[in-house]
Amino acid sequence: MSLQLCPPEIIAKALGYLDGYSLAKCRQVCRFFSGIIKGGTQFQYTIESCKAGMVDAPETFLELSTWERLDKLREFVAQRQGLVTKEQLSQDAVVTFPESFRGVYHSGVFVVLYENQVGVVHPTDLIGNNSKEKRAVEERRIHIATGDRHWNAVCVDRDQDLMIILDGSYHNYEQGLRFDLLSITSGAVHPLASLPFISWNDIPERPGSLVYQILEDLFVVSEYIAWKGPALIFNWKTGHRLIEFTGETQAFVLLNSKHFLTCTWVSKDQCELQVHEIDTSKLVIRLSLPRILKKRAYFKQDEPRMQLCNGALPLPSSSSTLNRQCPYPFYASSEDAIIALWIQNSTSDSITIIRHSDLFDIIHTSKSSVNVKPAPIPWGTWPQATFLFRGQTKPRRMSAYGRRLAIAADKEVKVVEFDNRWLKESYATRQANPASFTTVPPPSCVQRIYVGGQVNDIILDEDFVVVVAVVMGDRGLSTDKTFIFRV
Amino acid sequence: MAAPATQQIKIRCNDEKEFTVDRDVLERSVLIKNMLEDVTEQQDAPIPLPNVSGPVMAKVLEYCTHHRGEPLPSADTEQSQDETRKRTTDISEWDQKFITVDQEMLFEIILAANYLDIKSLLDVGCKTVANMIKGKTPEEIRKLFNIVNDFTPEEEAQIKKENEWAEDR
Repeated sequence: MSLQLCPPEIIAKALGYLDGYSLAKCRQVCRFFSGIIKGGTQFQYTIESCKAGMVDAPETFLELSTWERLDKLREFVAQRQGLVTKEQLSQDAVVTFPESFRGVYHSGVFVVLYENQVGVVHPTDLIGNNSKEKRAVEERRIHIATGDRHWNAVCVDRDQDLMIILDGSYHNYEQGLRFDLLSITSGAVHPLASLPFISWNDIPERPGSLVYQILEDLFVVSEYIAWKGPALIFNWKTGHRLIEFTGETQAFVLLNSKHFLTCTWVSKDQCELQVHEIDTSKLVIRLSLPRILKKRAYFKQDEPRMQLCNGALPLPSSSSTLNRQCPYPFYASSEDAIIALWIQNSTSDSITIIRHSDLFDIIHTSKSSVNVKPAPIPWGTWPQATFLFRGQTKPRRMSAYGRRLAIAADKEVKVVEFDNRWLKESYATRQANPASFTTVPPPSCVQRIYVGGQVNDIILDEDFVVVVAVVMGDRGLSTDKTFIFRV
Repeated sequence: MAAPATQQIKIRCNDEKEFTVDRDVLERSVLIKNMLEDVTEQQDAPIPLPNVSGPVMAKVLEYCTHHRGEPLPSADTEQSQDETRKRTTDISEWDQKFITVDQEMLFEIILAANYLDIKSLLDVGCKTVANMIKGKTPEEIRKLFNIVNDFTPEEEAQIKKENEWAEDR
């Protein structure tokens, strides 16, 4: 008795328990198997949906007969051709650009800023010709904004499908444009694209090199090079400037639409973190036309905000310093709320992680009455996890997305993930022994990517990490390159 | 629920081997169940089962005895199960142990279950075959079931190319 003597309907029944991958193997075995699989609509559907990367059929498929389902699937796959699935991108571990650009990935396209132009690049163009001749970004870009302006900053909010770009060079920003990302990805440029919504001309002290953040209807720009430029909060819908926060603050991060966090030097070896609440009852948003923006009064720092909690960030020992010149001593992600602080020590570097939600827990507990100024919450009791960064060189750049943090050092990029257990254990260790600076094991490393050059910029995204690095070229010349790796 | 005074039924296999079995055990087989319903008067002659051999029948009866009293799948549930089948190849512990037999016996059991119309046993058998195939390369499958590759080299190259996407899974 052997399998080939079994009636085909019994073989078909057994094959019915297999997934698409196994079926694809089975049809290579012999003509008998191949014929059974070819003859079964259900098998064709299983194989083709597996090949298309569909794990579960859309719900609307379930009511259809297998024939109809297969037709629908083929239609769906045909429509999707030309678009790149995540699986395909992952096969190309790395996409390399011969030039450097800033960019973000959203809704199936990369939005790139390159010299004086802004555009979107379809990932289709990024793969396939990866190993062979690489066309320049410029050639494969759909232009959305051009001209003499130097587009320097791009900020994307995925939830709202919003992109804001800012033009100008350092200390010379002139205007900001906002786009509806969906209209860009679908090929139609939004009418808003031509209207500048922020004008820098009426801002007396313009911010220098910027970090930017969109959160709900707020848009923040703050400086990160000179450490004393203002942080400005705009309402991106109206273009109104709501708050100007001045002071020597290292970092300014919107936590949600009512709270922001600042990091300020208080002495040579101490900096202070503060969480402020925007008192919306004191904000008067005057609906005015852009041309009379100049005359519009805005609130000074003390008026519309309220300090909720603060904590002095102590340094491990007197011999160590927090490097005031390092480009990113502080990084925060507003997306799923990781605040990462990079503290430089003479012997080692450590990174402190604070999660927004945990921070808000302690704030709300301490805030008994609205009108009473809350007592500062000592730094030691902040929920925080500090781990040592081990590497031959110091971390140069960090970027966070969700629970992940990408750290660039040693010509390589490490992506680490903070899971709940790690955070919980780390908080507990830290609270049990607040004096010790680093006691917890580092979080699990999701990926290590060797870049082979000094990393100048890094953007961690949901699926990708974009790395701009200076690498040695073929003839010993160093060149700027942009890599996109799948995470 | 205890069955009323169990009726004993005789069956005869193709190798003349005879079994005397409780009626409710035998009724796991839809084929025999229907046969018994058609016959009204008490019969002493054994039911002939020309497609099943004694050793295989002994195995099948072991299965039926263990699962006696469980509800039989109705035509309705069969239909809906097929529709929404989630390709799960989980087999219960007892069944797993029961079906751990050599390949020849496995296919004999499957054929007998098919002939006797014992759906749950046929399922267990087919799931076992599926589990044997899972995760194997075409060559490994051929070796496992002693199958000759009857594709021409051209056909093989073509079919290999078509299934390249599933290669490293």
